[in-house]
Amino acid sequence: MLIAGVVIETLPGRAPEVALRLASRGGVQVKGGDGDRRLAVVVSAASGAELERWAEELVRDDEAVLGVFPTYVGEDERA
Amino acid sequence: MTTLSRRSFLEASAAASALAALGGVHGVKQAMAATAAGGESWVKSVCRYCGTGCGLFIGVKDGKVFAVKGDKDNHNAGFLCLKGFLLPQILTAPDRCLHPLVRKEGKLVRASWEEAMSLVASKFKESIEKYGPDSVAFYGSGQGLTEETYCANKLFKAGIRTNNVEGNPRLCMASAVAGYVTTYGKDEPMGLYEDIDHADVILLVGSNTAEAHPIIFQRVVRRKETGRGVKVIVMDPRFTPTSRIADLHISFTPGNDLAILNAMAHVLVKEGMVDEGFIAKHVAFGEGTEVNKSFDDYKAFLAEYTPEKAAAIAGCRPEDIVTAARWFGERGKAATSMWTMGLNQRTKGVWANNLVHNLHLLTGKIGTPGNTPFSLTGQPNACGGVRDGGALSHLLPYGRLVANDAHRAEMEKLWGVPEGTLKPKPGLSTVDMFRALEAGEIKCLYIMCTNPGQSLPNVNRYRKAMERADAFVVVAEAFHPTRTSELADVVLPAALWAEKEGVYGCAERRYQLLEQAIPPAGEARPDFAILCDLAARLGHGKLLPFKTPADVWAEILTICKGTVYDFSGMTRERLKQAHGLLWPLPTPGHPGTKRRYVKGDDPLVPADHPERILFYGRPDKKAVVWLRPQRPPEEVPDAEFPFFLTTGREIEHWHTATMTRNCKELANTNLESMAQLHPNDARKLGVRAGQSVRLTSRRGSQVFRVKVTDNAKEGVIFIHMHDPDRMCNVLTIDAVDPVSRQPEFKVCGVRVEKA
Amino acid sequence: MTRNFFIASLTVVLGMAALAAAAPQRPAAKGRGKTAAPAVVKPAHPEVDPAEACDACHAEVTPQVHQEWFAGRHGMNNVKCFVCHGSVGADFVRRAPVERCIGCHGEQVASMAHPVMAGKDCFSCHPPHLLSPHRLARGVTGGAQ
Repeated sequence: MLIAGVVIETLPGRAPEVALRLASRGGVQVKGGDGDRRLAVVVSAASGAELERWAEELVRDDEAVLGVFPTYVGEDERA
Repeated sequence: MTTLSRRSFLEASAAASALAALGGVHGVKQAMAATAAGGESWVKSVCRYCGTGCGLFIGVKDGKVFAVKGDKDNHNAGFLCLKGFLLPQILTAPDRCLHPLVRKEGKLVRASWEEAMSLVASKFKESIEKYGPDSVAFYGSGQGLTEETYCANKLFKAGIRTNNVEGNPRLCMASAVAGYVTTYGKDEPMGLYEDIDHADVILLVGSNTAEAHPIIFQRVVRRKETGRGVKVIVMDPRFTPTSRIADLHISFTPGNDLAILNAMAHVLVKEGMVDEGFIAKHVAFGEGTEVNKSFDDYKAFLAEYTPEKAAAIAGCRPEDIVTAARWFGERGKAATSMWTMGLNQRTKGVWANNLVHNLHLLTGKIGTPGNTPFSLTGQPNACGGVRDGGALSHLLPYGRLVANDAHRAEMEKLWGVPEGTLKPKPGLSTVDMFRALEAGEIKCLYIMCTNPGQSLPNVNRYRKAMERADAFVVVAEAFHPTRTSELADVVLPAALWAEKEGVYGCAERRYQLLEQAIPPAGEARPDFAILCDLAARLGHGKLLPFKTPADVWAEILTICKGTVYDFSGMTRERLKQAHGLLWPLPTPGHPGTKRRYVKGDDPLVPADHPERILFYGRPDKKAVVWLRPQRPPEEVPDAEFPFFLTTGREIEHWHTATMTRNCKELANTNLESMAQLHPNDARKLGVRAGQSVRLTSRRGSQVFRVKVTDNAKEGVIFIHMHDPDRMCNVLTIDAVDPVSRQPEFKVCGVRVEKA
Repeated sequence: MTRNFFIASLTVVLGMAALAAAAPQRPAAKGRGKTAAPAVVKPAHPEVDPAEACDACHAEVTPQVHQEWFAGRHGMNNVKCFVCHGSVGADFVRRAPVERCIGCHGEQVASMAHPVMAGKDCFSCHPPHLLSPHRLARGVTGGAQ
């Protein structure tokens, strides 16, 4: 199981609404935001490939999301 | 390391790195403050209740509000009162109005938005065509968002072309407004809450601060605890929870505080505690409406207001008046006074306000830290939305007047409407508006975010007016039924607080953005959207072309520019970042203004002005000490109605309790209006606690249970205003102050019989 | 109003179950006809008078608790019983969970996540009702208000 910290960049002013959408999904925890265009998020995924797929889908499906930028990846080998 | 803790560690590291990466101007600190773990987001907002305007964060999880917490970086330093803490419950209340209702065959039945709005539009159109624009009216609220109130004001005054635009601040703030305007030439306080932290003497008159403004009271308590020798004077007929911290509590028979305040001035003059230099430079004297008196005239006027005479009139002790004046006037000690409905809700409300200002002007105790006359506000956006936004029948936005040709011309230009669009005659003030409804002169009334069916004085009279078959009453409200929506022909479900976005302006000129946290409940819509829809249907879509409240705000910034309110530097972006901003704030980089009229602080005072203060609100640049004699209330007890009735608030509830009664903890506490009697009165009447009594005034009659309390004043019965089932306003008098047009909720005569 | 010390003491013992029975019919607005469904449990707390606040009775039936509250920060600033203890009925809590403190003490509540706080709540250090600031925290937080 991978645990990653990522920053999500959104259109100006749209971060809170993106946070609301993210919060309703499993496997994603919104940890913070600037109230405007950036969110700090923790994601868990089974593999690196799944993590990448999640990020791509988010950028593609959420029109307010401009980009996903990983800041940290750790592996929980016992999970 | 267990799996769980290993995982927690990884998550913490991941979170820390992501948060650190946010960096930049917004910073990790803010992000941390705004958001916690566990998929929760915290949205910056303001409390929905009183005019203190406490900053808070709304906690959202799974699209639902689960908590609020105080904003540490706002004036309330992270604290909320017991009502504020329980706010989340109002959003999911079982009586939330979730879809439009239209009255059919006497019953309100569910309707579509299309049906409801087309009915509203056709009724308004028909009335305007048949009877003219003044046959319709808008009655708004100090709880609407600034953008919403602005839209309504513009639609009615510039679109429909009627000045019949009023709001419940007329019941609440109008005398404070007229007090500031007559004394300084401009509305709104010059000081701020921070002055409490510097005050050596705090005069609370006509204010049960502990219950009506708990977070301000907390600040007073803190000041008293931390400052040396800080004195608190409370002037109130009742011994309220506020009086608990009083070093001096002056109880008096209702309506006689004018004599006491004049007697305090008498002592200040007699004992040489006035600041002659300040008076010579900054103060003019006036009587009636003319500023044509001298300091000597004023001294002659005060001569008769000896403490002995005032005490005899008011039923208090002369030495207490002397003590209050000495504490207030002592040189080198800072004096802050605060007041609210006890002075405002009176037929001599404006005069009472003037008399408090007099004390500060005589002693020069104004405009420096801890020295300020500060009017407390009842509603969260009475100041920002209605007063400043000019949404009363005689006002135009940001200090402009309906009756002023230049002001109308300026607004016509700013709003892009033809010359002559705005009518020069002020519309009807609140009580007159409901009387016009009663007389059949107003045919259509749009009520937004307020509950006049409970909150008007002599309420049964105006409930009948709203029930008239030929009166078409629209109520846009988040709850149903209320004592007003039950009378409506159409009820429009309005989004509530966290469900929409906009600006609130609280008592200290602090404007704050409430961000949307969750979607509106059911089919509810923000009042902003409803008003834009109505404008389009009435053919005035061009006046309200806005897509979002932010668009409205952008226009408002152009309207306030160049006025004494100038907050054109308060961009949406800045409001999002800030924890409240105080106007004037005329440029994007300006920090805001702590104290108005003060050189080096207020941007409207020239930097090279030779004095510390400039009262630029009046042509002669002076503030006015007014000669205001003691006059009794409109109705005092007599043989037939031998008791005073006074009305007010309890800490657990707010206004007509449409919100607070939906909080489980509060519904069980102090909701029922009781007739609060002094033990001696109870004995004389032969009634015990819990028994029922019928109270009757010249206007109506209502049964209440009795509460016997030492805190009451003998001869004075107190009833709170919150209970929808036992309305104190069945009894209250609808006489108004001749200047502010604010009704005298605080004093009338009643008789008591066992029920 | 019933003022029975024994019953009040029992309330403390029975905790939420006792107050649960005391949920009164909700004072509904005209025409609403709505009542709260009271949880059915053993009656112990006297019926609650919706025209009073808890402290009106508890000043007499639990004078020590009342006095501590009244003299403390919460009493001075009118932070009443139900803010921490919840409503009557199923919502009554005897010992307030830390989430109940978040409205005014957000930072302090957040600090409870630290490992050294494991197994503790606010009242482990701040005596209930009196809620005096504890010695260690005072210098750091400026006193828990």
